[in-house]
Amino acid sequence: MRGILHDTANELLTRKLYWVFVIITGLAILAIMGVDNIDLKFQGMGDPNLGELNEAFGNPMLIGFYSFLGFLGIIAFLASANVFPGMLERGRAEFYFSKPVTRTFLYLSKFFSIWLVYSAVLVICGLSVYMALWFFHSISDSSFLLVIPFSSILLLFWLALSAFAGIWRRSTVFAIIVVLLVRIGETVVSAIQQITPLLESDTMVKAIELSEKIYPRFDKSSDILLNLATGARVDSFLPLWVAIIFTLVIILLSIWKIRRTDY
Amino acid sequence: MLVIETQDLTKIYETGLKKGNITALNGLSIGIEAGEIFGLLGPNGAGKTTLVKILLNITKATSGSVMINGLDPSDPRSRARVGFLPENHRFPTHLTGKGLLMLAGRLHGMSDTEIKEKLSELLELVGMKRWADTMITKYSKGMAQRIGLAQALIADPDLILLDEPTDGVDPVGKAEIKTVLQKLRSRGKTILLNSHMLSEVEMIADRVAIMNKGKVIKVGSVDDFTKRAMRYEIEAEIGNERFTIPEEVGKLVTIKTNMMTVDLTHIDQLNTIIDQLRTKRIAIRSIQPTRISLEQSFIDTIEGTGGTSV
Repeated sequence: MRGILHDTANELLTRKLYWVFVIITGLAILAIMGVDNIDLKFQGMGDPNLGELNEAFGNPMLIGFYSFLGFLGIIAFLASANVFPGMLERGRAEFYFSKPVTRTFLYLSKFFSIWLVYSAVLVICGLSVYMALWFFHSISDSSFLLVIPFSSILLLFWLALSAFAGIWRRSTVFAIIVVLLVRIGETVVSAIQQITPLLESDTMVKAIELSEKIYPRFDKSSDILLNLATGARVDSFLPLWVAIIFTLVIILLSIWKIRRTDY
Repeated sequence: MLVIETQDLTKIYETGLKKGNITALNGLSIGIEAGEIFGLLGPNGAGKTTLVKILLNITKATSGSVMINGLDPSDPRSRARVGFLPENHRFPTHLTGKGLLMLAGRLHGMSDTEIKEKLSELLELVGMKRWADTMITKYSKGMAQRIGLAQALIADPDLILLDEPTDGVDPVGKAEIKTVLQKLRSRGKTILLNSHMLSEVEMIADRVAIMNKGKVIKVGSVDDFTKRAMRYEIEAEIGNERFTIPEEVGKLVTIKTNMMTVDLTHIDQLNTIIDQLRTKRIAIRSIQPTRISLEQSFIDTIEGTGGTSV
């Protein structure tokens, strides 16, 4: 694990993509420094319902912070999409597989090394922005600290999917396309869910219910994790469980594929 | 003791195309003794690289048995004392030469202290000390081969599998690699050498196998391959005397002053020739079997099986 972790960190650092993380974090900190009032809320006219609206909408700053981490996660996924196809390309797979370690070990250590490296990036960037919020606007909210590991969990879901696609076809483009398709699928399923009550179709309702049980909804999982961070009520944990089970299944499928393929 | 042993090893690649499957290995049986340098020769597509990949569990056999260091290749412990230099390797491009050796050592379970102790010696051995901190992407083909050889040796393996080790290396580099291989042999290492460079194999291998179409078609010592069967050069004071050989004994190939070349029907017939010369009171100075290059022997063997040569 030590060798692969070291190698992965070296590989990801050599690409100099950490500058992208540094620049984005720097811009976020500059924006925080430049804003006078960061406590964004619906205000005015003494309307008592605005309090409920603000509660329903959530803390905009926390949502912004969570989105910032999500954006970093997207960059992390794009930056690591070629790690497995690169590792398994002809002439390089032989180097790794000729060593006295199992392929399962190689996959798991490489996969979790990527995750650990980018989780560390999320922690560093997240804490930097949080420190800026605290320093310039005296924001001190444990929810901000909680969404950092939650963003890391979401990153794990996406990395598992991209690693699986990368191993399956040994193609970076395919890995990115698969992730995009799953993301588009989420949007489509979500849209269908919105219009299903209008259609009054039992079949559609059943199809949607079924999709909720099998299709990974990383977007909904993200909402659940945000609610958990803020202590808000969670109606159903089903999307989170489906996402976790889906991730475990694709990790197992990746192991199966990497073990049985001739390189 | 056999370090590598295969029995009826078959590998069929399923293409999924109408052209059908490709048989890379076809019932291959081979045994390699500890401490020998074994040259594996064959035209492109003969199955040499497939054999090495099966030995290292990079590719799985369709049928047959294979043992490496007494273990099945699926057991990672079978690779603990094995070093491998792949053909057309593409080592991780984010590494320096030194980084590659560190990674190879760590994957072999070595501590950083152990690796660092070994690094200097290996870089010196392959002549890459000056370039150790240079990125692999900046290396020439020859330098990449040399650093590849060093990473194969990092864990002080007993068995070294080299797939085209001198591919792209200049003549000086080839000589250096040959010297390294000879040093390794003197340390009792077993080496399996896949190479198109037949002259090199001839110089350093103890035994050679020629493969074609997934089978071993001839195996033996280099001497067996290079000795022209039953052809002898006899240096004797024949002068201008007429000399003939009975048909049952063999055939006179050439005859010059004091030198003749004969093809015998059987090795025992050499005594008949010697007797004949002595009867005529002709002094014999020397008798030597004629030799051909391994390359010629290889071409003869491949053409004899209807295959294409390298």
